[in-house]
Amino acid sequence: MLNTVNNMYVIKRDGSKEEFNPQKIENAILKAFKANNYSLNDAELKQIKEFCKGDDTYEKMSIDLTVENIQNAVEKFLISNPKWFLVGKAYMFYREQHKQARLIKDKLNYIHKYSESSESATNLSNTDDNANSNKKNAATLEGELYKDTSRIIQRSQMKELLAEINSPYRDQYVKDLEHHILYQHDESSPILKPYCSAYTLYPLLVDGTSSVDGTRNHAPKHLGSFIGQFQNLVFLLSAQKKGAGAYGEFFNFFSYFCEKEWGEEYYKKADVIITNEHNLQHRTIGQTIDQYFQSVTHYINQPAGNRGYQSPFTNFNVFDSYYWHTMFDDFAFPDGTKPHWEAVSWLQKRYMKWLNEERTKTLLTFPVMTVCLLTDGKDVLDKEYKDFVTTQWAEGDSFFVYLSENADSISSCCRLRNEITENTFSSTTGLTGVQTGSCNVMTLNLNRIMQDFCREHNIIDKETGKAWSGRGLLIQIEFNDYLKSILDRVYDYQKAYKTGLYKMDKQGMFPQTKAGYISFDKLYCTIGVNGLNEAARFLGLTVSNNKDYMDFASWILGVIKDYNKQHSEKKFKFNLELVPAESLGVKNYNWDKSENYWVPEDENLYNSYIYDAHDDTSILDKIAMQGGQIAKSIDGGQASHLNLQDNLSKEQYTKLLEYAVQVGNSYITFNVPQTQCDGCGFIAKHPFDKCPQCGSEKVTQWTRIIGYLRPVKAWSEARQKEGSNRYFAKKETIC
Amino acid sequence: MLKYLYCKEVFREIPGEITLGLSISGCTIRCPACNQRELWEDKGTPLTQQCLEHLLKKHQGITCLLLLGGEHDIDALTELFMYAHKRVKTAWYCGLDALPKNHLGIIGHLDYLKLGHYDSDSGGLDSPTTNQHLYHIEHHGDGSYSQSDITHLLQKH
Repeated sequence: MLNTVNNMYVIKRDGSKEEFNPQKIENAILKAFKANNYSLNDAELKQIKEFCKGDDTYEKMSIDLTVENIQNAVEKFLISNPKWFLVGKAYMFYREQHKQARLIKDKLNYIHKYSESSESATNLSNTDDNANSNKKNAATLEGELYKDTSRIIQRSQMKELLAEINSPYRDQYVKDLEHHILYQHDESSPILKPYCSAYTLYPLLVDGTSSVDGTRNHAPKHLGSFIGQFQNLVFLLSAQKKGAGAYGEFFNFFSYFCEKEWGEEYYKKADVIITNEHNLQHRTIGQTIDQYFQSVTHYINQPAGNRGYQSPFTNFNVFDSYYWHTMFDDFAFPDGTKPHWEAVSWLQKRYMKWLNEERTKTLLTFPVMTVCLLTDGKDVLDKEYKDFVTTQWAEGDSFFVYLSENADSISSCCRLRNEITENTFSSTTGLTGVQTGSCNVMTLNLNRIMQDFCREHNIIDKETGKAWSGRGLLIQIEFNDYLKSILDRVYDYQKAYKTGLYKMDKQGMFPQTKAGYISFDKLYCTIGVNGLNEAARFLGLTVSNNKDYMDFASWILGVIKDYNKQHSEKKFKFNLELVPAESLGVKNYNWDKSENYWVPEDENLYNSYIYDAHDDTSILDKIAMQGGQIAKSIDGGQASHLNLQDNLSKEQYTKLLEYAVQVGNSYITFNVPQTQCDGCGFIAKHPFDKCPQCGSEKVTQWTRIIGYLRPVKAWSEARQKEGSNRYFAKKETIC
Repeated sequence: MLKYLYCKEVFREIPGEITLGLSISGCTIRCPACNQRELWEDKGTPLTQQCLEHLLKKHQGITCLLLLGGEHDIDALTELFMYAHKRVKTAWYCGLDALPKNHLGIIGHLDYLKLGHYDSDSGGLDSPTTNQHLYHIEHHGDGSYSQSDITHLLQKH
């Protein structure tokens, strides 16, 4: 070290560099002795001086020393001499105290920075930023403050669990995460929780919310108390999971209470006035129902204190008659009565029309609506519902349509599709087919995985940074094995996570399972994929509806899907999702770019679709590309968000819907940017730059960030940049 | 030979259809207010029947083929429409104010026909004062047809 002292630098804790000065170390050591009232003799002094300058002390370290490394060396030096033991111990204690102080100072600085910043809560978030919260406030700050610590706790827990299932990969887990080939979604909570769930509402009619919140309330007996308890339930359950909650039976149960209020044929009496001379305002049955719609809808859009001020992500399902009959014909409420299709159908349609109208008064994110339609592979079977959804689209309504040839799966989320394993109703537990979901999502970064593989096989062109062309077939078999070796590890990670959930469940940590709202064995372990388009481009393929690319995508996704199936067992079922990657798409891009992997220069994040959302791929191609074999492989979900600049006619939507059925696309929505005037509040279901009502040019556009409708202003910076590159098919011009 | 410059799936030009629109170059009408003058030149991809076959296959899912222009070779257009009409609906945006008497036969292969040159004062099809007309042609099976003016459908916004 002495030879190089003049060239050496110390990297300080704030990252700055300072020229190495052995005298400073000597002073610190002498101070430690002094603090312990230890008088050093000459021999000891000499030994200390030798150490500080010493060849042996630093030469094994890198040229740039960090403060931490120097302190480690000093610590080792002090405890090496038994006579100095107390000084060494005190030094260790001193270091620990300073570490604590630094941690607190860091947190305080973060609080100040967060509070003073003019950024939105989304942009201030360090971990898992998403646009489902608006403005920063004390609650969003509280949610952020310990996310880094939470991650460490969750990772330690995972290590314990991997040991518990005797996995050989217990040390590999964090390595895979830190190498960014794998991402564990929502690590920001230190407690293991399931990801998203589609619940049955049956238990609400048995015990009310008491089985979840511990209060001694009773099951609701009237429409008003049902709505009140349902609202509470949504918030209660949102604290017990990380992601979305779906309520596929909401309209069945709503209708049940309407029947209790106004009789089985209440829907035929919507215009009947039910107030009397004592009411200052008169109201019909229909208007009363609308008021409850309003109550539920506005309530679930409220921020939830227990979720870092995010709204509880809530989904409702609407079913066509075929779907509904398959799902609910065997169902009975606790009092033995059955839901009636005509009434439910009327109610769910009324709700969708009401919501579409309400969204011209105020833009609401939730519920995310999904209409499930049964098809015969050529067309939608229920013509009444085909007519209904296309009419709604033409009237500017924004919702998802889930298309399936069998009522063997539902889409309970903004894209997550889940197979229903058993659709048998049990009157004792109320178990129904709507219960499904995902217990955990871990996502593969396919672009990095592909490049790691090509690096290992030395098939990267040094000039372009891309893979050599023409090696496609040769690498397939070897890549299959490579990918499977990663998946083997991921299955263990997923099993460990779910083992943790099962364990906590046994310990009574999840009232929702005990009460019967969901059962954990119905939840899938979801393998997500991101970076698929980018991996293809790295291999020299063009991302469009061409055979080479589609074969590539089918191949990769097919390998994962088949391998998932092979490894699934009753308690651990795996499925595959093309994840929305709202913040992960940005992270993966940045991680890969900074670590010298090839990333496309014309993007700032990884795509969330099979197609490229940022080029002029036609609407028909987008529908086709996410259909067929691709839709079959992605058994855990995907969504085609079809961006349009303006609404189409009902006939055109009808033709696009038919085309989606024919090409096997299972989940679509049309996305026309909606605009709200910041001045007068006017809302239109199409884009405008200048308010047609008041002339203000201050307007806010709302569009689907990646599944749910949010104001563009609430998006993260990177997402806003990406949003401006999205291609919205234009209606007006050919050239 | 007809050539085309642009080819794109469009929604606005023909109400209710998912349309593949092809802009034919070599325009001889040359409206004074034209804002697509590159279409005056004789350039682009030759639009043969084979080429059309390929395009229709590639754009599977469209319900209507729209050719814009091509008035200088109505015979060639007629043949293309005859071919396409067996597969999808057909539409022609024609810049003439009336069809030439000796070419009325083309109507037999069309579902939609736009007539009228572009006049900037009157505006395009979406303008309430437009001089242009979009007709829906209904074929009765016995070779006869009737036409209805559907221009108003384009004037919603």
